[in-house]
Amino acid sequence: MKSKIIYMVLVLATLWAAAAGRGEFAFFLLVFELLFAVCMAAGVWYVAGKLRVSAKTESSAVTRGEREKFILEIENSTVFPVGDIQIVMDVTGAGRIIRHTAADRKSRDSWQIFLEPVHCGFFRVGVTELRVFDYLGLFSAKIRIPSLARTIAVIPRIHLMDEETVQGFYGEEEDNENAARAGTDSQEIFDTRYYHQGDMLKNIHWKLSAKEDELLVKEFSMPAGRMVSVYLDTSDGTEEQTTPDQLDEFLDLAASLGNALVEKEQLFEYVWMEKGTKEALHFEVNGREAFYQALECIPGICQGISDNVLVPEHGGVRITMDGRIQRYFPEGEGRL
Amino acid sequence: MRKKQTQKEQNNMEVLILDSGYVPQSQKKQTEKGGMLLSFLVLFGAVGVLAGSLVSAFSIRDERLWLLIPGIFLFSLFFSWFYADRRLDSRRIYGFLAIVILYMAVCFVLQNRITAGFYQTADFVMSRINQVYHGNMRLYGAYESGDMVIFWLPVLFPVTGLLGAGIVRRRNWLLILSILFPLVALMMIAGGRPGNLWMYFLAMSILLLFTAGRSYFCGWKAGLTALLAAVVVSVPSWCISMPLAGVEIPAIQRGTTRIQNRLLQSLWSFLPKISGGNLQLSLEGIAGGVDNGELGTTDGVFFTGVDALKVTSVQRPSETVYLRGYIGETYTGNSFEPGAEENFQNAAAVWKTDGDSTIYIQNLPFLRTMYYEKQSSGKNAGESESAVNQITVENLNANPEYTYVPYDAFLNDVYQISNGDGAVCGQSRQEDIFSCYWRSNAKEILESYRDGKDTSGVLNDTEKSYRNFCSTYDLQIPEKGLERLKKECAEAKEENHWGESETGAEMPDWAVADEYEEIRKYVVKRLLRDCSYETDTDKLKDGQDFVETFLYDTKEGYSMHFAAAATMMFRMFGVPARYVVGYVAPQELFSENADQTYTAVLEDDNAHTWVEIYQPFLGWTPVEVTPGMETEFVDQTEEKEQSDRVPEEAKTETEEEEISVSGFAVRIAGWFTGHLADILKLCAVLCLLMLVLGSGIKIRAAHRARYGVGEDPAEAVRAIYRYICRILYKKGMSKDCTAADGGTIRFIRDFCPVFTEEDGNRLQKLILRASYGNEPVTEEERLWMRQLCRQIKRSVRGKKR
Repeated sequence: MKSKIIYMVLVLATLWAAAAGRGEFAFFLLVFELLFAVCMAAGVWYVAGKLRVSAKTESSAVTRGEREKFILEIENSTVFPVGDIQIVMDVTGAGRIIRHTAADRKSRDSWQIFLEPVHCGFFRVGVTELRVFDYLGLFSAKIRIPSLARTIAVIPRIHLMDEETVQGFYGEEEDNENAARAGTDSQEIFDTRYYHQGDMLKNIHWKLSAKEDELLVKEFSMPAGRMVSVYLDTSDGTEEQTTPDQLDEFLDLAASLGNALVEKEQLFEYVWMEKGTKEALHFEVNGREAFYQALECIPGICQGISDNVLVPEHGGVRITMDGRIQRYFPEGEGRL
Repeated sequence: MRKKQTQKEQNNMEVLILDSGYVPQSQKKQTEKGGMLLSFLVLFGAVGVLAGSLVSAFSIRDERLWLLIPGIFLFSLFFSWFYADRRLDSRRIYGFLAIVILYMAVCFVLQNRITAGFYQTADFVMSRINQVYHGNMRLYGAYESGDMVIFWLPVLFPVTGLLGAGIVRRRNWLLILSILFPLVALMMIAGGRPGNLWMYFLAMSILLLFTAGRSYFCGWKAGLTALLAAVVVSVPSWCISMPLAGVEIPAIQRGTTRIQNRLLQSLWSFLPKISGGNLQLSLEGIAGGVDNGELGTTDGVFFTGVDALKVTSVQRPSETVYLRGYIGETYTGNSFEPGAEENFQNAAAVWKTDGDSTIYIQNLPFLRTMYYEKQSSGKNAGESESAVNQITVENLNANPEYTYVPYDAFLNDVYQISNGDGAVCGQSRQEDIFSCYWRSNAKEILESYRDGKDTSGVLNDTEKSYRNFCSTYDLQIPEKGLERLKKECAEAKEENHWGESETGAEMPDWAVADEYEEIRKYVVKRLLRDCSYETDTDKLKDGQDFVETFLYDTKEGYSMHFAAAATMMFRMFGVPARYVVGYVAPQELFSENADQTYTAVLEDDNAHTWVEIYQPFLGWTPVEVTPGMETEFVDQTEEKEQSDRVPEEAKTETEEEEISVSGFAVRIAGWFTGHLADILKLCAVLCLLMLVLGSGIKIRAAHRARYGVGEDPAEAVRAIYRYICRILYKKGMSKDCTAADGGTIRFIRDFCPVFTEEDGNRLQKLILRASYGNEPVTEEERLWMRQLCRQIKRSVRGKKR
């Protein structure tokens, strides 16, 4: 608008000079200014119709704190170089961004922007408007664009976990191969616990029960190859109290544990609740690829703390908001 | 890495926007040398066009001026290399200082020739100003060939350097326009008018630089494409505009002339002040003051607040003082030309004049009045002393071409009269002291001896001879033209029987005087009845007759119109009349001084035009025909009738005249023009203060942003890290390097040997902690980061990977 006003003032001043009889050149300049403006308007309208735009990102997920590149490819099939293309983008967490670029004649140039998400979750980056300006900046025309939005998952960072911490979830400390874990392998007693209604009678440890004068049930160790459930329990957090950094730490822990389990070739599944879902979500991880796919899913937790409480169905590992990792037993107390 | 402020979304997502940029298709990247060549050509073209426009604008001629072309070529080449060569990136400031020192040394060595060249150029400029604005600036008269080139080259060198900074180094159209615009504006203000082709080249250069500067391309593609489009559009523009070139809109023309005059008046008032009196424009060149007999070339705009003459009278003025300047005799249709000196000299050869006949004729009224006054005082012994007054006229800023002389004054031999009995030429003295009689006194004295007395004597004989001379040459009417006025005057003359003696014999002087009085009344009535006072009039078109246009077409004008029309009408009725331009000092303008003299300071708007008629025995007498001015020669009844007849018009015209001459807007304009120098000084000081303040604020803000001053330690560390990255990018670090992967650390270690591995680890951890960690950053760590930044800056200075 500013450039239009300035140009208008210029035309009026030239008109004044011409009408006041200040020479032939004033007349020429007046006619030239008007014709040139018309030429610019026509040119920008023509070029806007000929530009083709596409967008892409390097990947669909990016690690928290690392850069993601969003690339806009502009194909100009005309003979006129375009000096000013305004790009209006919408980026979740950053708002509306306006940038400018150019496009050479008969070429396929690109424009890129680096984005760095700070917290885990999902963010959407999309181009809402592309506008071509003429050489003087007077006129502009919109470029027709397809949907140029991309959703990118921000996955948590993976840290190396202590061998001791991880080992505690597999079995006895001295035996990394057969880390103790609760299960149904009757060949090996893992532990004992008090009787709950529903326990099988054959699992009652009669000798110890007689001694303790209380019914005790045998807990058997997990045979190798059994899946571990990793519960991502956000129930002790609330919408108001939970900060993004806390969620990041939480997910970092989950990712780090998952990475450790994958390295141990341990099958596991992530179980978590998301805001708006009534049932827990499961994602089974049976390899590295599935692990990364899981990492792209669990940031759904960042969309909000669920109102429903995660109720683990069977034993596993529970990660809580305060950063603790515990072996989890559905009822009663378990001993680590 | 450039970070921007972010906004948090409802899902607490926060995304930092880092660098973005245009990436051209790889095979189409412009080579560096190609870019430099284009920049050089653009710079050479821009400076060449600017120099060519200036030379053309002031018609500067010199046989060695062609040397400017290779000079500009070399300068452009030098500055293109100076700004584009990356090897000079960190040394450019030293190069710049060296250039400045060398430049000053060259100027010092060649100072005499540069000064001579300056004067030569100034002569061309000033003669142009004199030509356009009718100025009277004295030229320096320096004509040695070759010096002008030696002046121009040192001037063009820094201009090329400045333009190069905006063209080669960084395409900055604002910087370029800030250099070009003042030069072009000054050129136009000084009256310079480059040829159409040069103006076209200038416009195209500005278009190229502007479009290239605002494009997001690295090279000149956008600018050159716009230029090509402009050249193509120029052809139909030229074809369309040529037929329109002759069209003028008078209202706009008038308004433009008034605005231009006001601007020039402002220029007039402060040019002498800033130049110590060396630069002066004459008033008449800027639509004011006493000029010549040209009719209808300017509007009725006069200066306000500009003192033209200072008039001091020994006696208290009892009438309006008319000071004659230019006297026009021959009417040509659009001007009153002075009389031919040859005619006067031929006639005066047989007159009984004592000494210089031109001075004698000028002094005739005074001498005759004094003679008759002495005769009267001799008869009436003991009567009052002589009525001779003394008037001093001091020329402050009026046109020095004339001496402004009151009626019935005595001139001594130092004065020169132009064209025989025309205007008194200007003197080098600023003050002229005249002995003179008040017109009313002179009239009274002479009239008492006119009728029936013995009017023989040398003085009277000379007066009769001169009267006959005036009746021959001051009754001239153009043979062609003024047909309507001739018919009207002939009818009025016949109706009133003017010029017909009842007895058929020559009429006595008193009868002639009575007839002249009747004619005067008729002329004044005729003009007042049909014409109105207006200062805003159209310029006279080619082929138009000034008087006829005024009397029968426009019917509006100011003193120039009324006086010209009255002169022709008087002549057509047989009354010798002349057109006079000078100054008028109404008696109300005089104020008493401590020494009991009376002084009036006449401003430019006291300049006036009137008609003078030759009354037999009395001599030349001014006649006022402009509405609103004092009409001394109208008797009381006549004056009353006049004001009764057209009371509203006269009063309205008087009011309008007052408003038009000293209206509110004009007063405001006058105040501004009077104080323009002070206003400009104040503006300059304010601008300087704002510049200094703005620069200080900007520098401080940049410093704070660079080091995170005022932020918490973590943010400060991030800010310092971003600054370090910017420094390293300039040294060639890839933008993909990050602290997390250690790329930045490795790059720093390459440049900074004192940067140990331990420092590198510490830096990496600190940055990661400041960016993502939960533990706070301490003040010591912030200080350490700052020291590290300084260390890195010192180390990378002058180095490149």
